[in-house]
Amino acid sequence: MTRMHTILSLAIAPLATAVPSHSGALPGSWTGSLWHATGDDLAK
Amino acid sequence: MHLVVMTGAGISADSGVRTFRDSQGLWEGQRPEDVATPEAWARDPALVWRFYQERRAQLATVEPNPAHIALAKTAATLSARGDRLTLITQNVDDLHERAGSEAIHMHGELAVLRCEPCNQTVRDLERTKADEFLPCASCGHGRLRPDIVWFGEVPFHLDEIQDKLLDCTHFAAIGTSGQVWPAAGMLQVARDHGAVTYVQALELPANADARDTFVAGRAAEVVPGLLQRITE
Repeated sequence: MTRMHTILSLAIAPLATAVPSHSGALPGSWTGSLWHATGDDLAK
Repeated sequence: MHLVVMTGAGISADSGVRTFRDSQGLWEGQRPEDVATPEAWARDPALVWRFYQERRAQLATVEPNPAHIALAKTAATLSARGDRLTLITQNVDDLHERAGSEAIHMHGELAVLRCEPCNQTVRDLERTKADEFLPCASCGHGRLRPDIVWFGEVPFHLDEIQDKLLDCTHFAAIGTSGQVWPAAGMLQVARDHGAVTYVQALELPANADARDTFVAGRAAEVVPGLLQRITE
């Protein structure tokens, strides 16, 4: 699983960059504005 | 109670720390956010170094204000009664520490320098000459960089911050514009996970919501009362 961390940005919508995932599941609701966790986000 | 407090430039501004978005907004004719990038460091390291050395030297001229002190006192009060305060800051100054707090510096610290080749860090606020690069004592590389998260880089301690946000019962954003990400997203994360949320700033930040309790005013003037209200 790839986990996304946002990078430091002044953008209104956060930019994202991939970093290695930690083991263990993320909470299901953890797809908000702080961390983006889906592969679809990567493809955009 | 587990209170997570996120502080931003507004709390340091009340101590006289110049921020990235002062009235003029420019530093030597450039936008500071254009200086605070890896690309700027690669293109013109002397310019970037001078920018940060000025800020490192300035730390000796500023002092914590009542908001910094109230946060340290609140942490002690909560700890004494079995509750907790976690302090996360976007600020790169050391005013929270000088007020007696332990803070998670998600954007790094002016007091720390880092060697890019060997990743060694050193805490040093003594050598602040603007025109002299400092070498790495470990590997001999000739140019330490500020241990600051630049635009385009990943902030520090995000895993630890995630854990705190998922655990907190109360969240307060103090002195933030709500425009710098990912810090701006933390308010929503805490809110979505059921925390009672508070926002303090001069003007309503971009990331505030009707569910937040908004306190308008200067941090040094309103934060002590806000913390008392949250924790009583």
